[in-house]
Amino acid sequence: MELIITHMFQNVNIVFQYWSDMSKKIINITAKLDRFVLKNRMVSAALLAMQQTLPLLAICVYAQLISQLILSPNALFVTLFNWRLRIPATFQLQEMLSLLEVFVLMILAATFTKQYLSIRQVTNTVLPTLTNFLGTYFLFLGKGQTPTYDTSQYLLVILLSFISCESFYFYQKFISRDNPQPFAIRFLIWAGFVLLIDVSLHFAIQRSVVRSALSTLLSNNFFTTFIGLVIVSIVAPLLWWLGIGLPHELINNPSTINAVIKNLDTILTNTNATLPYPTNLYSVYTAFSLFGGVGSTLAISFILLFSVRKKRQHLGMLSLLPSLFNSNQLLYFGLPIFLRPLLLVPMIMTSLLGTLIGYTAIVTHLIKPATLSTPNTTPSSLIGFLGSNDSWSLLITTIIFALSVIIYRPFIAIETSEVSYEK
Amino acid sequence: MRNKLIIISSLVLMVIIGFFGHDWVTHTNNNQAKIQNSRMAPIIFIPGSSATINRFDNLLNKLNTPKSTHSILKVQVNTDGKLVYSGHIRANDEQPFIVIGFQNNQDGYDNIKKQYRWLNTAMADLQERYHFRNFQAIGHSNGGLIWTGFLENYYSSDSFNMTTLMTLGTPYNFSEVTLARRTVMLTDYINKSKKLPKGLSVYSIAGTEDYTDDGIVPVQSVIAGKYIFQKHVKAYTQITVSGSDAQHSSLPENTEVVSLIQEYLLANTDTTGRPTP
Repeated sequence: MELIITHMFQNVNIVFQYWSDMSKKIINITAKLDRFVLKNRMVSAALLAMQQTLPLLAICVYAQLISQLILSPNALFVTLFNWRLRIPATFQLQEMLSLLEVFVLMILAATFTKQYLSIRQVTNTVLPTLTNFLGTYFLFLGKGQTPTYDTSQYLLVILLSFISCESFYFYQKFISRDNPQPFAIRFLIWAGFVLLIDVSLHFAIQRSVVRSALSTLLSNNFFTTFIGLVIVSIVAPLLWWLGIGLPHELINNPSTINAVIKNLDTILTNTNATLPYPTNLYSVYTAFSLFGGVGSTLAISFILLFSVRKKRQHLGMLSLLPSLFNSNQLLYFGLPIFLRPLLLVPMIMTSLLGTLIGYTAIVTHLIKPATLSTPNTTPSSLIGFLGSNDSWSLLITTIIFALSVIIYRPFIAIETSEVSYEK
Repeated sequence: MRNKLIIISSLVLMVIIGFFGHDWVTHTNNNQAKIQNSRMAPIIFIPGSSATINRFDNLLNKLNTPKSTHSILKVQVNTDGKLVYSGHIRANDEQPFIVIGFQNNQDGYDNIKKQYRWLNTAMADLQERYHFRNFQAIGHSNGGLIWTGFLENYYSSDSFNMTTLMTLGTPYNFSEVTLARRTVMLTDYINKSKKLPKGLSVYSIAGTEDYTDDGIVPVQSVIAGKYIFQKHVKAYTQITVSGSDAQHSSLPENTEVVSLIQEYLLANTDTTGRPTP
């Protein structure tokens, strides 16, 4: 008997050792890749620009949070406590918040331009900075309109600014090198050309063809299957990490998806009826893979609170409250997350882990799936419990959160020790 | 210490949201279940300007003759948004009559805007009390304008399913005798007509006393409703009644109008006598 137990312990030890070595390898490879990516001029300029834009973004994120919790007509606390607040000029307030979001992008484009051209050793950066600042305005707003589409298109802003910077660099170097005047007609022609491209792209990105196609795709019953949910839990953090705006169904409450509506209809008609789609985006992905936003980044805010670096601690404190309500933009700009392999790997791992555990718990009837409607801006960490009225979901949520912390910890430790892009 | 405080505060916040969220979810979904399973589909009446909740008494008596099959509930919305109920809905009555009137029942576009806001308050309260989703509506004179304003500004197909709207002598272009001159109200209603429910059937009844009007509302103003409803709802039908009792204020008691209500609204029942949605 003693021999069997000793043998078992040895086996467990071997498996543990194997996983430990594997994870060390993964972390080392990711860290190397991260250092390689950070050497890229465009990426390092983008990350610096994001960090410099952070204070403005913080104002924007907190203003939106206040609106979503208290001020808007369907705000969380207004709904929960049945408050009958009479907020004057609610519509104008929403419009102001949308404008602020675009202003953040304009500042990001301007800061990136300045950073990138400094790296390229261009001295006269005023005109390209102004051009990209205005270009972003035309790209998202145009003629006094409010952006009705997602403004988290960071990749688009950075890429367009990058192309504009490169074109300016070569234009100045090869065509206009003998002209020291920064606002010479030939430079103004360049600026006019860039702005024209931004205006034409404005009409292209305003068309919500891609987004509505994605929404239709997500309504497909394939995304109620195991494979479909696994794909979503991998692709969503990947696209978000790339700076591509995600459809509403992947960042918020996907209450408009067919499977969710059919489940709700069934449960409202008969509480004991068998659900047609027990596993779907709402009951699995939203309830267990979205703690703190895409990539379950609530764990990052939590880990940063205990960081040895003051700056990181402050970021943890600053991002914790919005993270509780599924907004992780502050971490995206503050760490930053954008295009960094070091953070992509744990994001996909935690997202996938949440989906796997949530899916298994539902199909084994350990917990009831979330089917009931929950108020807007409900923290994702409470969706599993509130949407199903099942307290066991809280236990699953706690386990997934604890595992997310374990997954993120070594990656954040490396990130905190090697902040190589900071000047 | 500071971190402990932050984590404890976050946990407390989550517990509060979890506790009140649980209450909200239970209450909202119980309510939704009752609405979903409700068999009641009332006919809701709104009188015109200057009229009270008793305006339709004669019409309702005629509709309840020879046998009183539809119970009657009257609701008055006061200017402070408070609702005063009179009458009752009989248990198991699947097609009760509900009359909604307003303490401020004055004419004018500004007042109509207030009235359809009050109508929204009344509808939400009625749904909370009686858990119905399907309903049909009748509006006499400005009552039709109030229904149209409500449909374009407050109605949500997530909460309600309005199947039929019948308007009696409703002045969609106020007192304008020509369609060439559109009032601000008509322009506003036309601009928002895309928000009208797609599955709605609308019957607009005009009265003619002397070929041009019903004594108060020009026929052309009633006909202007086509610019609002046509192509935006499932069906839009324009009907003109004439004769000695086709005068504006007599329209609700007009024999032809009563027949039309019986044919298009009361007859909307299935083989078991239950109102069809």
